[in-house]
Amino acid sequence: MGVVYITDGSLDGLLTAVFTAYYTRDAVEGIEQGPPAQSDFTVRYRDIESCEDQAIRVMTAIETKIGDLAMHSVTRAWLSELPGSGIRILEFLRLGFTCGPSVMDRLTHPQVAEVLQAARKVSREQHRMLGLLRFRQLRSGQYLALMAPDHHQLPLIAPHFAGRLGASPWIIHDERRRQSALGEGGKWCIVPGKLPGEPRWDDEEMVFQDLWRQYHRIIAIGSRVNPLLQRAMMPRRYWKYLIEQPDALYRTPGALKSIPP
Amino acid sequence: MTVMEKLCILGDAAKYDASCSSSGVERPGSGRNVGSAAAAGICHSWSADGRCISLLKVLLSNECSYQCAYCVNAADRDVPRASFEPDELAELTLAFYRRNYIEGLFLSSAVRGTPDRTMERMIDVLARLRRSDFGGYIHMKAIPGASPELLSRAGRLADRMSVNIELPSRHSLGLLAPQKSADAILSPMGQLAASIRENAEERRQYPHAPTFAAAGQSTQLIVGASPEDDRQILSLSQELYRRYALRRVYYSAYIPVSSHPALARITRPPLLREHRLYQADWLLRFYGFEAGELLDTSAPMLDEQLDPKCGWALRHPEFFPVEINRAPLYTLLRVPGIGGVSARRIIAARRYGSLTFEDLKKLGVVLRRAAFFVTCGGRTMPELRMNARTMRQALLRDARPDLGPLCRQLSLFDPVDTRPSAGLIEEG
Repeated sequence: MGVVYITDGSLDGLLTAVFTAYYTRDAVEGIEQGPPAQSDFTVRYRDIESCEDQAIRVMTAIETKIGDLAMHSVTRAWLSELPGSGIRILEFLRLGFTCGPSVMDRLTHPQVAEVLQAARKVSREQHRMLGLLRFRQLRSGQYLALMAPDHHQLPLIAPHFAGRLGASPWIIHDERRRQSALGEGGKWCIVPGKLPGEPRWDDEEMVFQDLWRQYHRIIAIGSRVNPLLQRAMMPRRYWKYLIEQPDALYRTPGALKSIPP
Repeated sequence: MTVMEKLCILGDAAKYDASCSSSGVERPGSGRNVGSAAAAGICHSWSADGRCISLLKVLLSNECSYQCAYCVNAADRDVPRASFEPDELAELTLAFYRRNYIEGLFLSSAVRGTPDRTMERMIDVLARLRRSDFGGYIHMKAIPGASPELLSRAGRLADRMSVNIELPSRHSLGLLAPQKSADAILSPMGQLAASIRENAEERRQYPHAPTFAAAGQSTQLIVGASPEDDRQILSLSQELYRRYALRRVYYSAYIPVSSHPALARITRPPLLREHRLYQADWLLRFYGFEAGELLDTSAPMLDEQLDPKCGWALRHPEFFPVEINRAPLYTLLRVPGIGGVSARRIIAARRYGSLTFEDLKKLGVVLRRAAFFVTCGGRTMPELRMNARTMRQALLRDARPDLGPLCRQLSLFDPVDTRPSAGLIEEG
């Protein structure tokens, strides 16, 4: 009977599941990130308890036998949270442990193609979030950013902002996954849970938001207006958290035409 | 005047500068100071015209004493004038940067007083930012005619420098920008190129040596304001890339702002021409093409309906078909529908088995275009019949779906009738 592994969704969980798959010789049919919405009576479920020790062993094995690049892609494919990504990663790793680093070049192999494609999706959104995230200053002096990305981005983008924002403390909250990254002075960590209460903004915050909205409006060239291009580069689903509210131009009649050439 | 009013005037005045890239230098954040830079560059937003916003692009001042015919800020024009105070602009940049609105600052300026005085004020802004430990990206425009000392001070503070060449020939420059001479533009460019080269050499030996415009220099020229053709423009770009090792040449479609007798009379900016020039520019820099291959004196303009690579491929049937499983990188790169990424993927993947058309799709090749030009294991794509005419038409449809009413939508996989009278475009 096939077995489906249930993990806690963390990277350690995935790696522990890979470890278990190798050492139990279960006929693994799925590695899920949490309990399934609907249980399937044709398979057996097995809860995987994340084990750091086993996770590190698997990670070291991947890095030495298949390469850092493979570990990089596996991490991102798992963070994609796409259905079925767990089992595809396992199959990819099985192939990788047999043929070594060259697995990364076997781009036409279905398991390789799928894992790398999922990883690419995540990397693409990661790069997007580095630009589209918007911080607002709280009265307490911290900077707070809200987001709801398609994939689990917190662990990927937190190091970038930790390096960039210097001494001032910051919070990035993922509304979809109810988790936050907290950072200060180059260090950061991820904590689960919603934000406590309504944020209270700093008095000066609105001044800079207004300046930015205005700047965003005037920097467009009227004779080149191209809403399709704008949406292709910056999909609508990310607009909700932007300060500049690109929507305003499309909702107000005549606003698009009034941009000076 | 409030900061808001100044931002509106000076942002609006800066918007015709095409460059907004924040790429070319990697400077990880230390976690202590504010700011870092990413080699790939980061776009933070896109404005209604679809152009990316990566840097806060403003003029320090638009109170200009020059009289360039193509420019909105020319001295005799009736436009609102303003100037930022250096500390004001530095503070605004930091506030925007901390909120992650921008990747850094792109500072340009009208010539207020003399070129030297203008440069000094611009350098003042940069120095203030760097003194407050700002590690973000700074692109600064050099003012033609400013002294070499100021130029080298600016290069120590900025990540990228640029001198706008403005018009693609000496003649047009003399006619339309009487106060700017070609030499006043080329000599700072040469100085920057030399300093950047020396600095790169120095940092190879001493990795912690202070940087000089580590992201290199770029330039911009206006397309369509003066009579130069695409061949002249592309040859100029190629020369600039070779002689000054520029990172980028930006092309800016001329937007009619004045009725100077020497300016082209147009009502809409030549956006499609600008787009084709950018495509050709990419072919020069990343695909191993030469300007002379893309255009010659008999056909000096790029085909607006077809991208320059397709155009080249149709003029050179002897080069094709290219065998996917054997061709070297720079041959693959010449195939329409195959770009830098997919060419490298082909080379990686074909080591582990011969590739089929189905595989090419997975590797990201645009088969709609590439199918006409390649073979896989000696075979052309099944169902594909072609001659020069139908090929051009199918490629055209792919490139310009907006030509809609003229054409009948047809998939490449439909059998194509190649009788001379039955083309893809329905006549009449």
